[in-house]
Amino acid sequence: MRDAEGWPPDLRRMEGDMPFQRRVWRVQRLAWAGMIVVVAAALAGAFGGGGPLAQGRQQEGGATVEWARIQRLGAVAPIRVTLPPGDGALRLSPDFLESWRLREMTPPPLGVQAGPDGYRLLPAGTDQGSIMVLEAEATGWPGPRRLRLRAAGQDFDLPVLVWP
Amino acid sequence: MESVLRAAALYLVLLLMFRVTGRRSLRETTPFDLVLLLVVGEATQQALLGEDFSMVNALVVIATLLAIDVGFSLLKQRSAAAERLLDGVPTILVAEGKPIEDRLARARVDLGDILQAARERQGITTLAEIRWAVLEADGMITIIPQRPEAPPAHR
Repeated sequence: MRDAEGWPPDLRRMEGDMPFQRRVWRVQRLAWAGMIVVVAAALAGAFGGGGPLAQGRQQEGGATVEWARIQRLGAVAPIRVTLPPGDGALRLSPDFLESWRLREMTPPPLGVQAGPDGYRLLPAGTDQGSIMVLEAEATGWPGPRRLRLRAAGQDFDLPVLVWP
Repeated sequence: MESVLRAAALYLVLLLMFRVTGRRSLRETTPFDLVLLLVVGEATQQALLGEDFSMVNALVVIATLLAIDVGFSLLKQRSAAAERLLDGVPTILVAEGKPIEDRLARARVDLGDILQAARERQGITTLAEIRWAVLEADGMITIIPQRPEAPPAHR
């Protein structure tokens, strides 16, 4: 702070606020660093929408599920399920249907059976198995949740973090 | 309820981000600043409204934003600390004709900006004619010229 002796009263008062302004400048610079960290984290996928941190892949038996570990509320994220030939049904539990809204299924399943234990999807596959991509939108409240489904007789209980 | 929470959260996030970005960035609105503001508005629109484009949702969001804005203005009126925190404080950049270099650097203002403000508002063209320059809380630069010297006495 400078010696404000002899300065006009209004400017003396402004000079008295300088320690506060210096703290504001320090906080601003920290916040700029924070913004760079946020952008870098977003590039890595920490906020969903793609990126290495957001992608998950799990194989159980002959079935493989690739999903987005980090998602955003209201945004569509793909769940890619690879099923072996034979018992290739995909079952979506009731809590899946409470937490996600199915937007699209590619290719469309040959049949859908709905019951108290959820949906059972019969994918259109070949002798080598089948691949089904579910475009699902996270609904409800943000926070951690589980993505539970059963593919080819194997249970998948996958962690998902949903950002607001 | 979700609309109110969305609007309140977005108001606070935008307030915080613009506050920490600093005054300099929006001090003089260049055409690019205008485009940037439009893009920010476009980016926040979806987050504000979600998928509900009804009149009621728009009304709720607008009422929430304005209510928070009025609330903050009342808070600032009653509390000097809140006003300093939310709006910032003026900063003297030129004192008694001498530029204060470290403040100019920290405020991201250069002498060209001060001279531009001096030209535009006072018709002043040289630094020697400036006695005080103040970066106001709203990002404008106020120029106080040197006192005119007393005319020499004529006999």
